[in-house]
Amino acid sequence: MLKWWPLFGIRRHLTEKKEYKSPISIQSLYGKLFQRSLFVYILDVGSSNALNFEISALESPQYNIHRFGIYLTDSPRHADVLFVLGRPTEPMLAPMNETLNQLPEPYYVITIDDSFDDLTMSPYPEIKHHVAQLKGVPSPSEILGLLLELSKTKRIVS
Amino acid sequence: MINFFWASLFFFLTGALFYKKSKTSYLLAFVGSVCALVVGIYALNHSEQLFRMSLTTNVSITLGIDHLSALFIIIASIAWIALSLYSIDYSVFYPKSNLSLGFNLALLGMMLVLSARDGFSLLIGWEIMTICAFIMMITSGKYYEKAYRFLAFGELSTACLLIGFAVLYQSTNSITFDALSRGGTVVLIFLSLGFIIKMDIVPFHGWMRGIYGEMPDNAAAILSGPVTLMGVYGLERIIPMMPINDSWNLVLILLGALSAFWGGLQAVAANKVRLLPAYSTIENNGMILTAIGFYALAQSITNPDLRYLALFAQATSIIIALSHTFSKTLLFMSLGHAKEAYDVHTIDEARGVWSGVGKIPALGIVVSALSFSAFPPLIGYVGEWMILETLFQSYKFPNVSTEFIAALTGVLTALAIGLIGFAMIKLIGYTALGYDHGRKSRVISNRFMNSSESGMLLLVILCGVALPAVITLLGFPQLLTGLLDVPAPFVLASNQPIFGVISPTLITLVLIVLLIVPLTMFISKQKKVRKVTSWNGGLPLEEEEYFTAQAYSQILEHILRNVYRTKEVRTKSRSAIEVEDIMLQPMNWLTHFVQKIGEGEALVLMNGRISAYVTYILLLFITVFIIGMIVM
Repeated sequence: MLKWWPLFGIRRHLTEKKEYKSPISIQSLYGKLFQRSLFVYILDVGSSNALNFEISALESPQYNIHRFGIYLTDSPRHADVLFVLGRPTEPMLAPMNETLNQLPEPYYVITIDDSFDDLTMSPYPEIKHHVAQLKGVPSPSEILGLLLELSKTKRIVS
Repeated sequence: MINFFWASLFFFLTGALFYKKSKTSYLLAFVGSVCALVVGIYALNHSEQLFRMSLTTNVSITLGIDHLSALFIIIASIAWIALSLYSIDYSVFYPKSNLSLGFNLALLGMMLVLSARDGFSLLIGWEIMTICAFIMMITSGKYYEKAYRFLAFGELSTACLLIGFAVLYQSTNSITFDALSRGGTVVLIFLSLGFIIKMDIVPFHGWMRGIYGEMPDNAAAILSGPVTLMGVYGLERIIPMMPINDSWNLVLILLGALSAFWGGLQAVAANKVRLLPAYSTIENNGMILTAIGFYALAQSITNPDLRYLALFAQATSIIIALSHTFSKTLLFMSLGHAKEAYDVHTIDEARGVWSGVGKIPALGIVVSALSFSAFPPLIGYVGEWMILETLFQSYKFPNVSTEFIAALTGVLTALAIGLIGFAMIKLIGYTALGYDHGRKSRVISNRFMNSSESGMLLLVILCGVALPAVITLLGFPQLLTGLLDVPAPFVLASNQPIFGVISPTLITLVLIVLLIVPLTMFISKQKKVRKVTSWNGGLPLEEEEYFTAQAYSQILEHILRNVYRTKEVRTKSRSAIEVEDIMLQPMNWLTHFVQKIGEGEALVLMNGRISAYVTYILLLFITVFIIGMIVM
């Protein structure tokens, strides 16, 4: 029997959007340097698992970030952008600093802070080339919009 | 000149007396070595008797110098000078020991060996040298059992020499070197065996695996460089004087080639900082023995074509001996410097000498190891080219057996050179040029160490670059010629008419123009590179996560697993791959056998019962009495 709730999802356009828009505006440090190619290294320093699902959706056929020249890489030594997921927990501070140390210049750092407990947790540490900080759990469209904004790609429509 | 000779002996003796004050003692050894060098330079063109004392009508102690002793005195004394200078700083690590006593007396013994003119004085020097090397070994107060193995081999060598000279005395009624020409095959075999054992030729290298990693560095350098040089000197001295024996010469050639191959093979698998150079010593001495064998073989045939080859082979043996002594002294000094600064034993632990310890020891390791891996224009390259060139010309020998053995020798020698190149790259890559992983060495006083290392380093480079001068100094100006646009003394030819040539001087010029200038320009225009530690998922690297020296050579250890007896040893915490030297098996069996007999004897005789002990003494007395009766 058909349930009523998928209609709610279809009406709200919960999956892919027509246009990828960045939720925030980004200060560009290197102009159009990464227009044709952008390599992203993902570092989870203490997120809820939700962010990882959103990131993995980016590589799926629905979003297909590769058509924009954006790729995920397995080593920070190959990365142009470091995505830091979550608020750093104590044991992850040293690996995060080491990862920042390994990044080749020039690079961007984007953090996505999905913790809702700002009072008890320590403030976000200072990071060099930290161009954007998102709060909560952004949708894949928003993350892709952010990356396209960063690489100054002209094509932003699905 | 006789005064300088006595002065050198006097300084060595005084140095030995001052052994409580190590620095003074080594300083005296330095002065003594300089005196020895002066004696050597003088003796190049002068032959004279220095001392003679008759003991009986036929036996006397005679000391003298001639061109051959001069060559070896010069080579050895340069190594002594460097080592005694190095030891002044090094003595800090062994403050309350007899190290300097052993060092000085070993030098004294070697000086006696080099100036001996008869069997008796040779044996005195030989025994002083052996026992003092043993004293140097046991300074750490541990590893007595391993040091006794060295002593056993040393005494085996002495015993062979003793038998040789005894047979010589029996047949000729004299033990002077002049009587050697009347000696028989037995004399030749025993005397050369005595010298071969001292050269650590396979299978007489059994003692080195245990003790080389444990003794002080200057002792290791003395044992590996000058002491084995005495064996070479002995062979060079007796072989031209003795009657010709072609079969024995072929045995020498084969033994040398086997030793070179085995030394190279085991050097590849060695993981201790000192064991690798120790096996390289076996390899080099093997090549020297091969060259000496060819020299003797070519000399025995009266063919004008082979006369040049004999001369060339003799020059080869001396050049390799020179190159080995200089490069090995430098290698042991530099490695010892790094090893003491880090206080470690294995190649893996001594990483990053360039950044962690200093540039001079790192350069010392690089240059000496490159010399061993035959890198032009260093002196080791000349030696290894010469040995291969000697072997290439084996087709000139009239009989097939010689040609076959020469071809076999050539294969083994070429393999040995390749293997030692592999081993030396492993050594350089891990110790001198490896990552230090942020480790810093402890601060040690290194003024004398650095100066002796840089002196030796320059010498190793200069000997190659100025090869014509070295060859002329050694007394082989006939081997030098000119070819095409290269003027007369700068080309070393392996035959006349020309068969093969090299000119390290020209190579140096070409290298400077074609390599060093463009390299400098390239480096000066290079972008700045930020260096970070290896990426390990953001975590610091653990010691066992590095790519180890054993992993580097593991491919060869796996392919040749039947030769190396490669096996995996697993414990609860870690697993490791172990290799063994199967040539040591006979010695291990013998040691086991002797130990069992000793234990059995102890159980039977020393069991606390006085009656058993008295019976033992009585039996011994009767045996000695009966032997005495028979002999008388």
